[in-house]
Amino acid sequence: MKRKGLGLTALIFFCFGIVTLQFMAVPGNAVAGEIQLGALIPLTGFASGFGQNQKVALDLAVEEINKAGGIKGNTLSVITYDTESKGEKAIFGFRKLATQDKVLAVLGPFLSTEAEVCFPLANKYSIVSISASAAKPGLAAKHRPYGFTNSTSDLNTLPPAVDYWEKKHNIKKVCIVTDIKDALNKSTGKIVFPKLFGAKGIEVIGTSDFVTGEMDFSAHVSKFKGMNPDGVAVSCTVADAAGFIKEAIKQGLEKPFIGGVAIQTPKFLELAGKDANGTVTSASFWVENPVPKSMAFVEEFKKRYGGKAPNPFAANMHENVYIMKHLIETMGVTNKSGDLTSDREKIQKGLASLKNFDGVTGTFSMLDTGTVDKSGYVLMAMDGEWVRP
Amino acid sequence: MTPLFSVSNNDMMIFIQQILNGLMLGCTYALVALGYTLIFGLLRLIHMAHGEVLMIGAYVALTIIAYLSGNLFIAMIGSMILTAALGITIYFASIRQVEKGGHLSPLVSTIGVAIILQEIFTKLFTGEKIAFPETIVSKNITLGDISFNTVQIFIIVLSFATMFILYRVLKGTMIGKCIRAVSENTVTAQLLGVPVLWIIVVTFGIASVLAGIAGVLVGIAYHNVYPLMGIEIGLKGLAIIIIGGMGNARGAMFSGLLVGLMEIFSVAYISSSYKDAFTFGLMVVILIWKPGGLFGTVAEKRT
Repeated sequence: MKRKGLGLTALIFFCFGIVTLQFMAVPGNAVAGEIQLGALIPLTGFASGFGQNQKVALDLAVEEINKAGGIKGNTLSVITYDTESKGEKAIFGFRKLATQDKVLAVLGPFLSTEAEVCFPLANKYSIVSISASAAKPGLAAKHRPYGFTNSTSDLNTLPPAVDYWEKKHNIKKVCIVTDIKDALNKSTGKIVFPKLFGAKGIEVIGTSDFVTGEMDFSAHVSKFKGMNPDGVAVSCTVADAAGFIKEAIKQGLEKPFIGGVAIQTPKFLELAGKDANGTVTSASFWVENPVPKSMAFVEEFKKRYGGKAPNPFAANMHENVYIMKHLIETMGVTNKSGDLTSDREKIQKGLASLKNFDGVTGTFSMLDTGTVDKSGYVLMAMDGEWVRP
Repeated sequence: MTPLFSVSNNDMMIFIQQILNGLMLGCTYALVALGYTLIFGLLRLIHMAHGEVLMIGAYVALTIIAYLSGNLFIAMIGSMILTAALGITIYFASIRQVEKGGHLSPLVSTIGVAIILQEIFTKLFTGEKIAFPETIVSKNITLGDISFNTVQIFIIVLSFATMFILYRVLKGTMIGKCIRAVSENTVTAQLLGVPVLWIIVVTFGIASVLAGIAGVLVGIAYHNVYPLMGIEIGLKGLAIIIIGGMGNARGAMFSGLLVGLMEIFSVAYISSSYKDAFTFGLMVVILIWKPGGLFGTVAEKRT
């Protein structure tokens, strides 16, 4: 009996010890000589493909910076949390980064759905949150002053593609299929495409909605077939867009397709195969852009990601790390534990007035709306590649 | 040349096209539901990993075609053999062991199996959707004003053939008679010399083969496979056997087709984003108005 009691006491002490150690392991603030940023990336869940891609770009940028002497002699380190592609996990990670890890700024979150719930926290804790991908129009504008997006909303990215598509195929009437469960695609299909088509006098003669992960698109396609449009706009996530287009070709609805920014990935080309040929979209980052900075980034990225190219969101993330470096260097950030609040404020001020920053996607500035003034490159799917038409 | 038959109305043409779409979807559902219902009829338990058997059937076919450069016929056979083996293994590993604990234990243990299988396949093939290789030449044959797609026709014909064979086996063969006898009363069947364990094994084999075929057909029809594909189809299968009557094979076939058609028509003519609500709504209505299902459920088993 006595022995048992002893064991129990030991166990309690042991647990207590672990808990204490845990608390000690959490850094109260950055180690001297180390600059800490936070990152929220969906490494698992439905957006994991994008997240993995983005993580490679993030690690690449951090490594490059540290190899070149860090930021003002300090090593840069980034604490990354997985959001599991879910808003609630993003909130959890954001709180931890802002209050426990005490980072200078947060890179992310990734999805518009996640940003919608994290940007209010950014304002609450007065810490910059800059998403490299959230592209829902008006997202950052709604969450001034601390929510930022370095990704173009489709409203700015898609016009060149719509322009090209309409001229090439002489489009007069279109049908739109929309994934209404995904924040980005819902806004693309319900707001952006109708607006852009309307401006060009293209008539929307039919729409069809579904929720992410639809298996069977045959009914949607047959419905459109009966309406006989000149072209079809596809506002869905990668796999669903591929599924829809394959079904359309199968049923003989061989019309020109235009997609939202979400489909501009190698995965779309892989899933849709040759049926993807001719599908048009826009992207803020053009992988084959013959500019030394972009070429170097793409080459180094491919080495680390099994020969696969970075997507626009990865490129934006790479830029975001360099933007932070630029701001910490130029805005007089001290990185002392006592100055955390003023450091975060300085970063916000610098970011809000960022002008002509030269990144891997091109040169851009920050607008008053908290988003960047990038436009899009028209891209067309052709035999397993995204090419400039 | 005058067309064989002419439908002047464009809407009519689309309507017929939608019926074909509905039949194609319904066939897949029916095959899955048949597997559920056979197992339920025999053991009065719901096999929650049945959807995962379908998923694995699709992955086996994908592996054979894409990585071992086999053709569709070999893929289909390979998929049938492996899913049959898998179904029987699931029975021995997770159902027979816990059967004595009542109906709930096998239900929970098969949910566990389902999750384990999903995780294994996520590790093996990643969680992303993978393109299913194109094996059948997709061509549109026009008959009058209506165009038929070869892939659609292939799936519908193959499913109906499978269902017809199953029907003949259940009605006309000794094994079928034994399955029906065990379904009715296990003890009496055993007393009359029916090898009960053997019949259970055969039934699990047949049910899993149906799921395997359905998996391959889903791959062919919808061009992609992913580790969680079994969940949605599995749940639909469950709703279908409730609608058709638990343990009733005819009910599973007809309500599978019914649900497929209903979903397609809800997308085509009502509201596309509510199609699942229609299926599960119908299930609830059936449970309230006709708890035995449209075609009647099997009697409570006396053992």
